[in-house]
Amino acid sequence: MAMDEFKIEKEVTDKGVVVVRLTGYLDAHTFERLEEAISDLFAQARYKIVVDLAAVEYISSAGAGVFIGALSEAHEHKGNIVLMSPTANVREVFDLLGLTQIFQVVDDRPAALAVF
Amino acid sequence: MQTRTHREMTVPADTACLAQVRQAVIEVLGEVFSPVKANMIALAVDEAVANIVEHAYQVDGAEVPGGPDPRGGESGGGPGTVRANTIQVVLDANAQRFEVLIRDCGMGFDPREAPEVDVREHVKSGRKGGLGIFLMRRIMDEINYTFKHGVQNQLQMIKYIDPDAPGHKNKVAG
Repeated sequence: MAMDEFKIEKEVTDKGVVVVRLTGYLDAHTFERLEEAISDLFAQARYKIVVDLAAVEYISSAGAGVFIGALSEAHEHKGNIVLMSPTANVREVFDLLGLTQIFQVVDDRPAALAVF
Repeated sequence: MQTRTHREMTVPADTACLAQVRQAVIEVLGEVFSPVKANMIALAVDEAVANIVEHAYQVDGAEVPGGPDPRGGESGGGPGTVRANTIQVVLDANAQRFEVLIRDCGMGFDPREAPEVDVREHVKSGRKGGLGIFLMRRIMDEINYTFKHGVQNQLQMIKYIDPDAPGHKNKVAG
């Protein structure tokens, strides 16, 4: 994978939950693209979001900050941001930042969709 | 790790360089740490370099001129040779410790002076900033800083490999 390759794919489920699948590095170089994607979802009044992290190899505080910054707005609109299938590297960062205490972090898609 | 591994690089002060810096850290660390632990050390370096990109050469959106010699500073140069808008990263690992020196010639910022963050409250309140320094402190065993405004700043971070070494705090699981 090219160093700066970062992909965001969105899928809307039957229940109106948006699954955002990320691929690559989520760092200070790429986080703004995710921030914009989530802002776009909020602008469409979509506040039920599952972030599929299975293909995210790396996350820094800038990347984690996108989720932190968006969570309260999702909650205000009776939505949520569920973090799905983090890799070992990403889970370690979540643990260090205490995000596993704040976010619902689940292992797979059925568990993620069951949150809503 | 039986032998010393040393690497120096000079990168533009641009977030596009972060993946390259992280990869260099992983390579210098070799297999002495688990992949997850090596990733955490690369994260600490990433956070430090990202802070420089964001703050050292940008003040109110304007570039900070600086550097002792805008023509000098080839990779591998010693102290005093960092060019404006570049960051020099020196990685060194031996059986006892991993050390990184990160040099720039922009605005000085001592991360040791940043207030301690109650990360739980910080995250709950939705604040995004300040977490990078929290991670650097939690992951690395030592953080030292020297600066001469507009001339050169140097951040030194150390992670001890030998658990019996002085200063080892075994913060990173794995």
